[in-house]
Amino acid sequence: MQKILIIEDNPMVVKSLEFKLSRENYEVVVAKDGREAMNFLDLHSFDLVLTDLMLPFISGTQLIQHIKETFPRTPVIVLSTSKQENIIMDAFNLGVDDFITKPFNPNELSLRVKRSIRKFQ
Amino acid sequence: MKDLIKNIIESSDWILKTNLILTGVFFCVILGFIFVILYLRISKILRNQKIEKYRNIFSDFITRYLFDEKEVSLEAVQAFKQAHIKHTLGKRTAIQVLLIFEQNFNGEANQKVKELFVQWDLKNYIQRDLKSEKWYKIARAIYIASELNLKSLAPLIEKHIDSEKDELRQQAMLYYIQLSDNSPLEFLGRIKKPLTRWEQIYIEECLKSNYTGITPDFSRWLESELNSIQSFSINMIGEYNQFENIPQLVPFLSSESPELKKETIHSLGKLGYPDLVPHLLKMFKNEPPAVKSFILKTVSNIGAIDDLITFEKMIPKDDWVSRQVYFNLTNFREKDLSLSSL
Repeated sequence: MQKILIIEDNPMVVKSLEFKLSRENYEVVVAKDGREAMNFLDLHSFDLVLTDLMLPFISGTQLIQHIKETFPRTPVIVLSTSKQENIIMDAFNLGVDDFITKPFNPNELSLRVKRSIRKFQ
Repeated sequence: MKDLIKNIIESSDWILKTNLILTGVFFCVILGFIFVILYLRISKILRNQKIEKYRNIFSDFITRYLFDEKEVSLEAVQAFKQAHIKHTLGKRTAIQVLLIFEQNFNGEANQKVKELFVQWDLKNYIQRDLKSEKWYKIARAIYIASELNLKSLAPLIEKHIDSEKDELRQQAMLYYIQLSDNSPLEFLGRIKKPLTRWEQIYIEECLKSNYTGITPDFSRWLESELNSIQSFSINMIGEYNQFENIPQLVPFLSSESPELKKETIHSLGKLGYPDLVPHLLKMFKNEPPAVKSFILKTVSNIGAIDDLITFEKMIPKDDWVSRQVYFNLTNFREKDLSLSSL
């Protein structure tokens, strides 16, 4: 079973993503902030990380940098409300594999998750 | 302590007796306050816990409704409504949770959220709020109506487009912009109260972030009776690069209103109207200092340094405001030039 780490502070979005991705046979681990995500990353290995950019304690940008330096084979998808071109460009420059803006289509998100995991397998 | 109180009561000294009574009264008042504060705190905590519980119940159900392959039946939706959406708190929390889902998801999931809103009969609750006497309830109801695309509520919202309360007016504008398929600013033809600068910015923002249809032709409102709407239209023509409307903008360079004149200069400059500088040269001499300064700033932005120097000879010697603006602009340009030559 492939393992996905979701870092998002909106409990309702988390609940929906967890429900949807679990139904698609992924093992989902949820972290509500950057610090918790770092702890999970130290303890487990993940097939994909789905993260917001605005996170408490450790920002999404710092987290992405950490993942790309330590686990370069782990794809990262950003899920953010930000539609500003410079923020999206900065994220891609950090090495993220996909950028999804909110509001998002959950079916499309699960397709993108599948594609990103397949790319790194 | 007991003896002391007994002595005071038995003595004939009225000052001591009064002191004792007042001490008792104050003590009771303080106790009363402490109990009221504790009661309010505890009831708030309990209420928040209840809301949190409701939120969890609603979000669990909505998640299942949206993402479970085995579709949740209509009977289950109605049974859930009977069980949890009976009181005001339930209805309000249901709307809050539905709004969060609506704002985060698009596509099929978004459509299903709207379906659920209808199936739970929450429209009646919004309708009731729209008829309320309290402005904040109406504003909240209009916001929900615009987020959930409730077009049938338009007749109830119409009157708020000219409301005395700015918040209501703005929400009503947002409603019309968000719900319109191809004429988001139709309401501009119906309003009687001038638009404030803040409202103009708000409409522009709503147009850019909430409206996805065809961009309206802003020249339609150039003939409006309200200066503020004319000014807004002139600004939007420049903002949306509607070059085809340049001929309709040019007459506003001779408008009596300095505000309209400034807005026109700004928009024509933005649109790159080639005859703007000769036009400004002709009109400069007869303008008030505020417009003169604005012309100088515009020429500095769009023209060459030589264009700006031409204007210097026309600034009256006693017009210190325009002179100062002119010297600041030429200094800035010179610094800019010397930096770029390095």
